[in-house]
Amino acid sequence: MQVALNLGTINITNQEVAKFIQNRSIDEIKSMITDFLNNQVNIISNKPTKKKGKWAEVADEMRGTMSSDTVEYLKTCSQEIRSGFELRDYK
Amino acid sequence: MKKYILDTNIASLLGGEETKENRKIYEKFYQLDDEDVVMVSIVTLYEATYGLKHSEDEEQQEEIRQNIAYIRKYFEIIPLDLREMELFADLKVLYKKKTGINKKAMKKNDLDILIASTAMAENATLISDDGIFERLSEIEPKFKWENWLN
Repeated sequence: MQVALNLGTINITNQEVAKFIQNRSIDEIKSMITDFLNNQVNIISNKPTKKKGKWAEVADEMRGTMSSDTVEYLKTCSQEIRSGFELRDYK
Repeated sequence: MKKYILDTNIASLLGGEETKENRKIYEKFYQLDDEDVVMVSIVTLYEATYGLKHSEDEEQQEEIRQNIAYIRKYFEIIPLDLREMELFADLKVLYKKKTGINKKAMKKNDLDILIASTAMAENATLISDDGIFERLSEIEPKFKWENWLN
């Protein structure tokens, strides 16, 4: 299968570059564009990808280790303790 | 380096099944730097351990046991100590004065104020979805609070 890439119309406003391109064959221009695109793709892929952070690893490890019911139950336990705790005022 | 203290509900949600609600917590965790410090108050462990002992469901007990193990493994546990003493007293007095809250209602907030004073002593941001911390942060600018569920 042949793959086609239509880059549309390219306007070259720089006179020197325009003259340089004008003096090249279609195959040479195709080759230059291919080299240019390859170069761009290489630059992107050479960028270091960010390593997954320590806290992201922790979050992923903990995720889903409790059911929603248990999470809700712990919430009620916490509320029970918070509302039942008091600093007593002695008279 | 930033320091955070997770309140009990946030630490529990972190271990829950992924939902629209707790996905926001995971997103925050993904944004943390390795150098950041994540802590929980000893109060959170007290509450979780009470939940463990109070539960009559073996499967649930195992889940809570695992959650406590994760908290102890990855987060710094902050005990109560002398540094919080004055911060707690000042914050409680300030809260009482600013809100005009009655004595009975005030008692229900004591543990929350204790946790807020722990965050202040550690110069950490408390992460909680409890509304009282928003009010506390409004009356005491030195107390830093964020709700990661918003």
